[in-house]
Amino acid sequence: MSTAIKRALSNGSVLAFAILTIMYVVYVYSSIDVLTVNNATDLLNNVAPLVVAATGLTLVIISGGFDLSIGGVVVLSNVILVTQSDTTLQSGLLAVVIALAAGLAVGAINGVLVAYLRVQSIAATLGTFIMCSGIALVIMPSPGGSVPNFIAPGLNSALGGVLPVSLVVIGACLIGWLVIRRSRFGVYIYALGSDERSAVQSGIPVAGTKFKVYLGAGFLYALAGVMLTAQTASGDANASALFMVLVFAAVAIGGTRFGGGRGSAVGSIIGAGVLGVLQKMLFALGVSTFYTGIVQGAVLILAVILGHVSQFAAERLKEEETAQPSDESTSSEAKISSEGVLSDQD
Amino acid sequence: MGLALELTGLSKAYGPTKALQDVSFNVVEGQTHAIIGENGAGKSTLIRALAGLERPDRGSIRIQGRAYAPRNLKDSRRAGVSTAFQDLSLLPNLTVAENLFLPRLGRGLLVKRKDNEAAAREVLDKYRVGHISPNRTVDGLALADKQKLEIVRAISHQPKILLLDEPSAALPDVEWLYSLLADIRSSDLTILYISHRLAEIRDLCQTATVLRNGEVVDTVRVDEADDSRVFQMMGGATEGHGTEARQVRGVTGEPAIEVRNLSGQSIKDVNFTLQQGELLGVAALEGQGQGETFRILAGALKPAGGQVYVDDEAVTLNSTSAALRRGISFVAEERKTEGIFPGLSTLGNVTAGALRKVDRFGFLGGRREFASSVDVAREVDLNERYLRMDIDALSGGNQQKAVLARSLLQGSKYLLLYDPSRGVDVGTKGTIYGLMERFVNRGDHAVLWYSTDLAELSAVCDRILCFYRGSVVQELAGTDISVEALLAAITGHAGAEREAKA
Repeated sequence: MSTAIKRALSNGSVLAFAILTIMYVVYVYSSIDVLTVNNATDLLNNVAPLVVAATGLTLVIISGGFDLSIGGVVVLSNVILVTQSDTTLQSGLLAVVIALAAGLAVGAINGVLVAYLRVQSIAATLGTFIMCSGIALVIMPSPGGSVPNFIAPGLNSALGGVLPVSLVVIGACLIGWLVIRRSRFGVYIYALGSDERSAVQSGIPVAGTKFKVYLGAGFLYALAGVMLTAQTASGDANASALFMVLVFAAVAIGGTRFGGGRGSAVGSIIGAGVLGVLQKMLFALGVSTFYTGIVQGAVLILAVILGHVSQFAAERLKEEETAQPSDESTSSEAKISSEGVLSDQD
Repeated sequence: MGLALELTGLSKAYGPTKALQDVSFNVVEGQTHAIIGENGAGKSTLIRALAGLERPDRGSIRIQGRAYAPRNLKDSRRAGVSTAFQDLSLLPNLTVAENLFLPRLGRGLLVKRKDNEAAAREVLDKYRVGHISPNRTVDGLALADKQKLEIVRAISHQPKILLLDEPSAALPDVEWLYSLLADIRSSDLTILYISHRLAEIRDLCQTATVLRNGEVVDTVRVDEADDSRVFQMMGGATEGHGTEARQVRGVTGEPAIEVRNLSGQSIKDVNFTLQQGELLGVAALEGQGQGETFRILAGALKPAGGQVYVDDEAVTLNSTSAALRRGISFVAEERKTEGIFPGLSTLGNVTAGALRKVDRFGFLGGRREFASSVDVAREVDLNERYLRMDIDALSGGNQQKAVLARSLLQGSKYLLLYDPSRGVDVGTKGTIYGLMERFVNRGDHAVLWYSTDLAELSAVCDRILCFYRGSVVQELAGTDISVEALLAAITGHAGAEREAKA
């Protein structure tokens, strides 16, 4: 029982889920037609791009890196879709393939820079972010255009009228993450984010793992771009900044620690949900959209603080537990252990 | 019996620091071979080169006659070399089972948690650590268990050559290690054993290579070398600093810093008095509470209980600036992370703690900053020309001098020096001794000095506190001080006759 409580307290996803539930309940009570298929689909459509991008960013952050290229890849994907397709299905599919390939390419560049050339991840991805934004502007200097029907409204609709495409995408992110979590690669990224030197000394292929992380993240950002384009149904090379900020917010609300080694994409997906529901809830409550940003920021900070508090509580519980059963050796060893933390760095 | 390991002319330099110089020795198959040396003698670099984590600049290694040049840890494992690292390479956020089986983590595409945990259970039971649960994360383990796990992990790879870097440093008793090594000993397994503790080396090893400043002093049979000869080989440079140099200085007897019943996370009931004019030594193995004691006095950690008196006044040192106001200055062991500001000039580093004394209307860079620094630089024997250079470009010894110069400029009366002579060359060591002596000879000043080098402590200090498992277990003074006595005290044999076993 107490283990379950500890797990829950130290798990950021649980906290984010609690916040999401509360908001959703408020939302349901504040408006009359929330629980309709249309409304639910609309909500899913809104959060799908965030969910996909946040899943990618979570991989990078757990591995101890940082990725600012999101914004660049998303707009690149967006302008490719708009400019490289006409109204036909074939051209649309081809454009999607090109967009995803572009995402992989940017991810590969990030990966080479960070993993093999050892450029700091913030610097490397800031560089690729700016470059991608520049390329997007070259491809599409002024906003506008349109996309084929299968993207918009196609990706916003429900398959067979019952299963929203967005839900499929979100589900795929979730399942993909759970598979990665159980794979060797998944263990490696947590190891890497926790202590790179120890990871090397444990025989983990550090550079290769990092490369794959950025590659996968680049792909997911491009996919997020596709889902976002389904929402906007047009192209805009300058529309990335707010989206990128929200992706980082989703990851933070989900309890993933910036700095690496801890967190989960499940949390980030729920975090994206929190941001989406928040927007709907405020609208339903009649709050002007001008205030949305203020509340989003406040929720982010609140979630992180609550995360710290519950983490602290979990550690206190753990300490109490280890303090209780003290047979001959444990107590003295535990004492030395805290000293060891100091001298470990020698 | 063939040779398991042949090292020929191994050299490795980091910038101006020569970590290994022309290191050559052989180890016969099936033997346990000790590597002995002070901190900074090159032991860790040697281990890292054998493990594939550092590539030597020159020289070659052969394993059972075959050339061996690993480029990473995987290469070394493939060649049958397995390492238990001193700094422990366990990942705190992974489970015991995951740590044990990295990087393979079993067969198949996905990691099978239950299978791994069952396999880990077997390994843990087999190697006498059955009390560790395979499904908990490593960050919850006591340090001793982490150390055991690191060793078990290395052994579980079934190596031909096992490298153990200070395997007993965090173990409360060595019985476990002795039984384990007895279990696995075979004619195919060669062990390189690195330890500070001579008694262990006598119990476990047949041969030993002594390193000093990156060079091989000698390779000897353990049963043919007595302790004093080994210490002489290890210490070397401190020989001239013999007993005749020791004389009771003009200690005024006024208490400078007094510690009463101090307790904390790793210490309990620590009592001692540092007198004005005194250079008080602290001897201990790594992690016996001396680090926490120093940091409490420096205001960087809060004690759980007890009282600190400075100049006969009860004080609460709840920040480093509070300690500085009391005249206490702390020089940490990790210059790179705690002591210096990389990227700043040496001048900037010297004046960083005392900007109010050197600025001009709040701005720096004037002649006043330079002039005030020149004086202290001269005092610590730091060449003036270094002041204009980036601190990163300086050798470890000169960086240390710069850090000391800063403490002087801050006007501190009491210096807490945490292993200042680690990894610096012999000449700089001499300068540091001279500096400390000049400092305490100013009368009301005092120094508390922790060193991992017992020979230098015993040569320089009049009184030495020995820490063991969180307490001061013995205080040695005057003619009672010897390396052997210190060694006995800090390994928990205070007062007992150690000679019987050795």
